[in-house]
Amino acid sequence: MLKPGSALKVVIYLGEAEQSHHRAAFLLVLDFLFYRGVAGATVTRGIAGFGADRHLQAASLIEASDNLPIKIEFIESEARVQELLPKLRELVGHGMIAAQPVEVLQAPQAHTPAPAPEPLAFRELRGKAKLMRIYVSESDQWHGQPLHEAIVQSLRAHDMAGATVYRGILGYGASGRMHQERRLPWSHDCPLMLSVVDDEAKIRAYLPVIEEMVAEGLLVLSDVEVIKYTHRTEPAGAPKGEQA
Amino acid sequence: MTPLRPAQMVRLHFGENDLYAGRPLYEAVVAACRDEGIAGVTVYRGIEGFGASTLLHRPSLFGRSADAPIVVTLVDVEEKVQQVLPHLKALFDGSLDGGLIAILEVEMLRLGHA
Repeated sequence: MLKPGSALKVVIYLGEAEQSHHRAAFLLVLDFLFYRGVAGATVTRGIAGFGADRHLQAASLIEASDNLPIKIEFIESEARVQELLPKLRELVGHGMIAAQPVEVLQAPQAHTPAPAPEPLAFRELRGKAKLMRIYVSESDQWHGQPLHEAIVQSLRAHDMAGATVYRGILGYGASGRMHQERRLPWSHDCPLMLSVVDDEAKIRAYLPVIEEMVAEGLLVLSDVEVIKYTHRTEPAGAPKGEQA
Repeated sequence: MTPLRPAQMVRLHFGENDLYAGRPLYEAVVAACRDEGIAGVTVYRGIEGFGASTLLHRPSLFGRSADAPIVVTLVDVEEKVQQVLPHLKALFDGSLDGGLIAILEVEMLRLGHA
């Protein structure tokens, strides 16, 4: 939690068109900051600017520029910034990251305090590990988006090795409410199962986060042995792969 | 944080067309689990597979008539699982089609019920 006193303001400059994992890089950065419990972040889109490649980008009424400058700002304690920096560098890619000391006069107040997730670093995955299965319903929502999508984003922000979502055709869970596939194409109340494989310590450190997010569901851990964990090799420091 | 409890997971593998007393076997399995108060049950339809009869289960391109592989997983504490197991075996015997039942040792956590 951010407290009054000295802190760092981090400013990230990116092109709007920059992509990573087939998504806009600035959205990935924002997701990362959000799920890692940063007190707040703001994204602004410039109307003109240029970067290291010396291409001048400007908004024009006639020709819409799709690569306007994007600025992401957040304020955190220096320790938290240091902790977030390695992953931020990876996500920001060719963009710029700058920090300046600031004095926080009044810390932001959350309506409901969120738990501070523990710092987790990516490690090579091999040998004894845990398989985590999370059971939720397709119709569950979390802050206005499907719960299972929010869980996948939060798993990614916590650097989990990978996640897969399965849709069941029939089932019931904690509430005893039956979820069933209907013959109607617009029915979205199937039982869903998310499976994640990672180190036991990392999985256990994630449990408070998932407890906070899921209002009704079930979680199951079992032992597994990881034989192989590989990823597609992408050029220039691309992030880890998506297998599980 | 709520502590995790030792539990068992049962996996049942069979076909979508397997019947028990005239209705889909997976529905009978879910109903039996519900009657015994099992914590959670999920039925999955696979996209391809084969079983003890070595017949390939594969959903057809046209409609839902073909025999896709079905996996039912259920989770609860050992006591409850052992209680429902004879019922599940009876359903398998009664369906005449057979299948596979496997048990895993797991840990369980009910979410949102702290």
